[in-house]
Order: sequence, then structure tokens, then C-alpha cells
Amino acid sequence: MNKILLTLPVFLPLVVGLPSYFIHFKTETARRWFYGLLICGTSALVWAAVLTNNGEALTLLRFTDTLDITLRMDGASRLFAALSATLWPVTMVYAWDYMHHEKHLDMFWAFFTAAFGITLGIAFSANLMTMYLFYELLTLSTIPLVMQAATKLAIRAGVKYAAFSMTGAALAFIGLVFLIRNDAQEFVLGGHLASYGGSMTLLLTVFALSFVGFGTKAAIFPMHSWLPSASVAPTPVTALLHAVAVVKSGAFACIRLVYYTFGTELLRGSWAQKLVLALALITILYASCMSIKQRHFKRRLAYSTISNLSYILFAVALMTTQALLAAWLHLLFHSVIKILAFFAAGAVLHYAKREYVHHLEGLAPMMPVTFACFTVAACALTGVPPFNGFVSKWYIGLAAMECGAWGILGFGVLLISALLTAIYMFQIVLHGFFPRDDHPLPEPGSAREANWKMTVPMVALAIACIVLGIAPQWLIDIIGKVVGV
Amino acid sequence: MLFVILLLPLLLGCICFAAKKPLSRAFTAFLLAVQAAVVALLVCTAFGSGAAAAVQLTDTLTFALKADRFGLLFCLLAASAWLITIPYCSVYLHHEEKVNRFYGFFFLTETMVLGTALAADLVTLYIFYEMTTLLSAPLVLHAQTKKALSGASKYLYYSVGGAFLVLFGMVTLQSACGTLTFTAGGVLHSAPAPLVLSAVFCVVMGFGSKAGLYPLHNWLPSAHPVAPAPASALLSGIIAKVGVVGIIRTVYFLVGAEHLRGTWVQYAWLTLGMLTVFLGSFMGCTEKVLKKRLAYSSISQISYILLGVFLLTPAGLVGALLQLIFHAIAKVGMFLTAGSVIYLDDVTTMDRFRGLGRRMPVTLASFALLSLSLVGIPPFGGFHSKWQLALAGLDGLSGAAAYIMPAVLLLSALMTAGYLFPPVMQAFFPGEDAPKEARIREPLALVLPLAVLGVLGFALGLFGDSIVAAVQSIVSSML
Repeated sequence: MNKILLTLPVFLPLVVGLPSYFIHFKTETARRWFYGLLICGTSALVWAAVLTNNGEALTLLRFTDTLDITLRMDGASRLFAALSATLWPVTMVYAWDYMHHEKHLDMFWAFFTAAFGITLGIAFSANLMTMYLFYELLTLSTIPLVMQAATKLAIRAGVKYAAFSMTGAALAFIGLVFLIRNDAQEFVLGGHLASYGGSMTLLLTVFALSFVGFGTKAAIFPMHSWLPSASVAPTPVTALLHAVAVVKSGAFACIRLVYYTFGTELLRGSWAQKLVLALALITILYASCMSIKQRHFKRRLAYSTISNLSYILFAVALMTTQALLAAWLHLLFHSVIKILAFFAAGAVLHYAKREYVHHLEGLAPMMPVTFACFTVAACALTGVPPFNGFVSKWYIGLAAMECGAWGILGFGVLLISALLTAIYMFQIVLHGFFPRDDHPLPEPGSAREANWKMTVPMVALAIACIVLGIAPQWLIDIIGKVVGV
Repeated sequence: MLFVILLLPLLLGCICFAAKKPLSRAFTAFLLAVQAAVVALLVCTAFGSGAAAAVQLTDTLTFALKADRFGLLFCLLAASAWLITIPYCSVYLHHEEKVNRFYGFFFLTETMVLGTALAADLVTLYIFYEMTTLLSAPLVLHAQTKKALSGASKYLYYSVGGAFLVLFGMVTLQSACGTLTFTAGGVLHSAPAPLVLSAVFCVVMGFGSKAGLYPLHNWLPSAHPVAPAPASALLSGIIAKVGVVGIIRTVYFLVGAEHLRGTWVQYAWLTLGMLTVFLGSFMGCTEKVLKKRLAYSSISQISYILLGVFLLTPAGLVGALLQLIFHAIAKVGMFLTAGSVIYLDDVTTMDRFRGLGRRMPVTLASFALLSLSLVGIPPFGGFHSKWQLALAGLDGLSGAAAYIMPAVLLLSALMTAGYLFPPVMQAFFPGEDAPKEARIREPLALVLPLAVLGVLGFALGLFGDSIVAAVQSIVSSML
């Protein structure tokens, strides 16, 4: 049972999802039933696995006695898998409406489903080699999604994404080789390198390179510019790319790198840690500033994602247990917030045909649910209590204050970024609800509220933001057990 | 009980969003009745126990309410200010559109302001503080002109930025003090580490942004002229004081005044406070737009309160609380007056004050009474607060520094007279060559609040000694 629940969620979407590209669906309803069953079924399997798994490993392929493809669920796997399994069906419902008028739907759904399986593969990986394999597969399966629109811009964005991801993977490969060489690629909390006797300079350099490598998917500076370009993809793709699959896989991989393979004992206090902290802080500030500059709604949110991902990477780089807890909190909470924000942007794009922030003046009365949900996302992202964004910022702050000068500096940078977040998010809220009196109001027929397939997911996510903000302790306890508090 | 006090304005706000005829007599009477109930409940709570209610959000984050004497004083002040503004709104808002929205945010803001004073720990206060900012911003931008939107944005981002400065300090204080629950006299037992001092500095500067402390005062002159008069009145009179509440809670109920006395943070605060007092009055003298002049006046006068707090002596705190009360009365009244003259005769600048006293005698008479209180002429209420502050300043610091604060206060008082008395004189004694203009009808609901506040400033001043004694007993419960 254990083995089935471990492999099925990973391979079912791949084995059934990829070839489904060739299935010719007679009606849209048939297609929705097919993918609905597939994705929801996989989610159900994942939840069953999360709740019942006993932590046994399953080796799928053994190349040599040190190289194998193995799956196993530990606490971190459970968290990441649960997140993916919750948000994929939600995005699917949203996509039923959003993608209704798009072309190449067979390609979209095939790769959308395949990416689900691959993300679960990343979650369930027991060693770095397995994770690396799925990591590369994720890149491959999401490139077609970025290029969905098949316009020149989209294809260029896809190529840029591919180039950056491959470069990141190459850097990460250095880390993979090093860890395999030192017999440390198995994921164990605390890492294996306590008895490392070789050159520290080598270890730290490899670590720094592989952090930037895996961090490419998490858009760390200077490997971030693929993300704003990728916002040309259809909104379900950007929402999922920017909330769950790709970017959080990057953050997840960095967590595995720091806490589960290298181990914090060796890395804490080193120049490599400081370098990584510095990159994260630069990203936070740079991306927040760029967000304010953006007038394109989705690009603004894309830069916002870059910034928030580095909140997670900053917490990861602090290398304490408390910081890891905080990083997980923000990883989970930001996913919910950002997917909500993107859903709202997509609804505006789809039902009001507006892409730019300055065109949103006075739109809120015509799309009240969308804008109300976006306001929740704005407050949550800024970190206004009692929303969930405040809780994760609070915990990052508490963890950072224990970490000396870098921690204090970092938290200060984070709060400056939070003010900038307020500026670029509330501007949209203000535009929507309080248009300038000398601006012409939007024409009566030019926009309408989104369909239930979009509003129900948005409202559910907004409620989640509020509930998680008021009552987060149960989740903090679960994460605490995962990180070993 | 405390939840009921918060729930009533919340419900009122929600009802207002849906009200059919918000400016009708019936609805105004309904609002007055509920608001009066809030005031009554607050008075009852004062006689009962300091009812507490707590919810644990996480192991470090609590949501808890407690009514201690300082909190109740502020709540009563706030609720009364809201009460007296309601009849004024019922007339003034004929001038504006989207009355429902205004009333809705009006009462939602009240909930959050009351919550700030009733918060039992810094996290709860922070929650209400942020919500106050977010819910009062729509009041400022109500007119939705370009200036209103930019003024409101400035207000929003200064306050949110200040809140993040507070958060920065708050996290440090959580680690250093172990708890953020307010206890009279403070939580720390030993002298604070430099990091803790810096954290307290950040917290006070953050809250000071809302209270108009230099250099984060710049939102006030932008936000006040564009907001509808009742909103400006409450913004200056009460909402800005929410920052003061935060500062008092942090300094007296978390860190403890004796740990901060004589440290660099105290000197920094005193310097900034005195600078603000001076700067505000100075800018007020040259400002031509009435509401902007009053905004600068607020910057200056609120820093009187802060100076009293920063002296870190009981006498200073007494002066501060007296100034809190009397400035609220005076400023709410003055902004309402400014609104009246705009509403009745479209007077927005100081040059049009000539002869206004003949045309709107009740309004200008109230303005005159309020000015006398604000400047600090005995026996008006404002005199008592400034007198206490000056005395506290003399006693609170040592050596030559002791004379600086009373000197600054005196200078500021002179400048305050400089920007308030000439318009009043011009209004009532315009000169022989002024054109004779007819008297304008002043609606009762519009001028009654002004008159009441004006007379209150005078009447409370007559009973000044009792008030000072009452405040002294409140202060002793805080230390």
C-alpha cells in the first residue's frame, strides 16, 4: 500500500496525462471529466499518502550502489505534496473557465497534468539525484506551458525560461556530483557532512554555486529575469508556476540542499552563507522596487513573486531551525496569497480585457468579488494582521532577530520591501475602488464579474488567507514537528 | 462587554453601507442613539472591573482586550468625539456624494480606534493600528480628486511604513521582554540592552509617524485639506492620537519609563518633539489655506503631548494626558468650524475671514473660544495642560536643559496666537471699509457641536484643578 501510494501519484499524471495529448475529446465536457478525474484522483491519492505513509523508501531504479532513483516521504515531502495537491485541482477549476477560448488545449492539459506528477516526484524524492531528475523534467514539461500562446513573445519567453533553467541545472549538477562523491546525497535532516574532512573552500564554493543553481527556479538574483518574461503565459500557468510548481520547487530544493544534504553545521557563519544571504536580500529589495515600476498587472505580480521567494530563501539561508519553520510558513502562505492575486489578475484580463494597472480605474463595482478577493490578497501580501502574511513575516522576524547582524539587517530589508509591497498592491486596490473623479468610468458593457469557476476558487483562497491568519497554530505545530523544533 | 463596545460601531458601519437615506432625521437619530449607547457602555465599564478577554492566535501572538483607566479615558474621548460629529455630518454631508460609504468607513474606523486603546498587548494594538489606517484612508480620499487620492496615499504609506517600523521593534521586544502584554510600570526588570533601546526607538518613531512627529509628519498637511471636514476633525483630534496611545503603551506599559530616562533615545525623542512643536507652529503662521494651517497646528500641538510623554516623569505624563484631552476638544471643534465656513460660504483661505464674524457669529464665536483654549489662555482648558507641561519640563530635566522645553512651549504659544488670533480679530472687527454683508443662516445641527465644544473648553478650564487631580490619579495607576 505504501509503495502504491508513493508511486501512483507521481506516475499516474505522467503516464496517463502525457499521452492524453493524443486523445481527441468530442466535447469540452468530456475533456473536463477526464482531467477532473485524473487530477482530483491524484490529489486524493496524495492526501491518502500524506496521512498514512510510514516513511519507507522505495527504489525505482538502481544504477550503481550509490546512484539510485528512490522515493520516500518525510515531513518536508508531506508539506510540499499537500500544498501541490490542494492547489492543483483549484487551478484546474479556474482553468476550465479561463482556457475556454484558448487554442492548443490538448497541449495545455497534457503538460499541466504531467507537471503535477513531476512536482510530486520532486516532493517525494529521497535523494538529490532523484530530485535532480524530476527537477529537469519539470523544466521540460513547463516550457510548452509558457509557450502556450504561441506568439513570438511567448516563444521567446519559453526559450529564455529554458536557457535560465538549464543554466541553473548545470550549476546544481556541480552540487549533485560533489554530494554523491562525498556520499551525502540522501535526504536526512541535518545532512551527512559532519565528518567531512576535505577542503572547506571547495565545499563552500560548491554550495554557493548549487544554491544559485537550484535557486534559479526560485528566481534568486541574478537568475531571476525569466520569471517576468514568463508572465505572458496564460494565467493558470503563471498562477501555478508562480505559486506552486516551479518556484516553490526551487525553494524546496534549496531547503533540501541546506538542511538535508550539506547540513547547517558546516555552513553557518561561513562566507558562503553570507553570500547567499546577500543575494537573497538584494533580490528582495530589487524585485520590490521593480514591482512598483511595472504597469502591467501580471508583470507586477511576477516581480512581487521574485521578491517574496527571496523572503523564503533569506529564511532558509539563516540556517536555524526557527528560520526553517518560518521559511516553510512563508512558502505555504505565499503560495495561497499569490495564486489568489494571479487569479484576480486573470479574471480582470479575461472578463474586462484589461492588462494594465492604470486601466483598472473604477473597475471594482463591475467586478466586486474579484476586487474584494484581490484586496484580501493585497492585505495578506503586505503583512497586515489578521491575515496569514503577517504571521509568516512575524515568524521570519523572530527567527531573524536571533541570527545576529545579518538577521537584523535582513529583517529590516524585508520590512522596507513590505512597505513597497503596500505601495504596489494598494495602488491597484485604490484604482479599482476609488477612481479619480476626472477619469472616465469604464463603459457599462466592457466588463462583468467572473464566472463561478473563477470566483469560487478565489473566495475559497481568500477565506483561507483569513482563517490561516487567525488560527495558524495547528499548522505551526505540524511544521515544527517536520523541522525538529 | 468589551467586545460589545467594539461590535456596536462595527455593526453601525456595516448598516451605514446599506442605508437608504443616510442623511434623514430618523437615521441620524438612530446613529446618535447607538453611539450614545457606546459612550454609556464605556462609562459603565469604568465603574466595573477591567474586563479582559483573550484569544491565543499562536504561541507568540495573542489577541487580548483590557479596559484600564488610561484606555478608558482615550475611548471615552474618542467615542464622545464621534458622538458630537454625527449631527454635524448630517448637515455637512449634503455637500458630498457617496454618503453611505463615508458613514460606513466612519464607524468602522471608530471600532478600530477604540480597539487600539482597549488592546491588552502590543500585537493586538498593532492589529487595530493597521486596521485604523486602512479604514480611515477611504475617509481622506472621499472626494476622489487627484489631490485627495494623493493625500490619502501619502497618509496610507506613511502610516503603513510607520507600522513596519513598529513591527521591526516589536519583534526585538518580543525576544528581549519575552512578552508583549501591557503591565503598568513596564515588563523589563533590568536596564535594556542597546538593541532593545534601538527597538524601542523604532517603535516610538513608527507610532510617531501617525502622531506627526518630525520627520514623519509630512502626511498631515497633505491629508487634512482634502478630507471632508468631519474626517479631518477626527483625524487630527483622535486618529492621530492613536499613535500617541501606541507610544504611551510601549514606553510606560512595556519597557518602563525608568529604564529609558537619561538614555540617548530620550534625548533624541525630546529633540525631535521640540523640533516638531516649533516647526508646526512656524509653518502654521505662513500657511494661507485654513485647513492646512490647522493641520500644521495639529502637528505642533500633538507634539506637546509627546513631549510630556518623553519627559518620562509622572508630572510630564499628567501634562501629556491633559493636552490629549484639551487638544482633542479644541482641534475637533476647529476643524468642524473650518468645515462650516466652507459649507456655508465656501471660505477655504485665511484672507476671506474678514468680516466673517458678522456673517456667521455663532460659528466664529466658537472658533474664538476654541482658539483661546488652544493657545493656552487662562482660564481655558488649554492653559492647564500647557502649564502642567511647562512645570514638568522645568522639573523633568536638569541644568540648562530644563529651561529649553518651557521656552519652546512659550515660543510656540506665541506663534499659535500669531496664526489664530489675527483671523479671529479680522472676522469680528473687519474695519470701517469692509463691505456690509448679510447674516448667513447657520443650521443648528451644524453649529451646536461647535458651540458645545467651545463652551466645553471654557467650562472644563474653570474646573481645571479637579480635572488635573483626576488625571493625576489615572497617571498613578499607570506607573
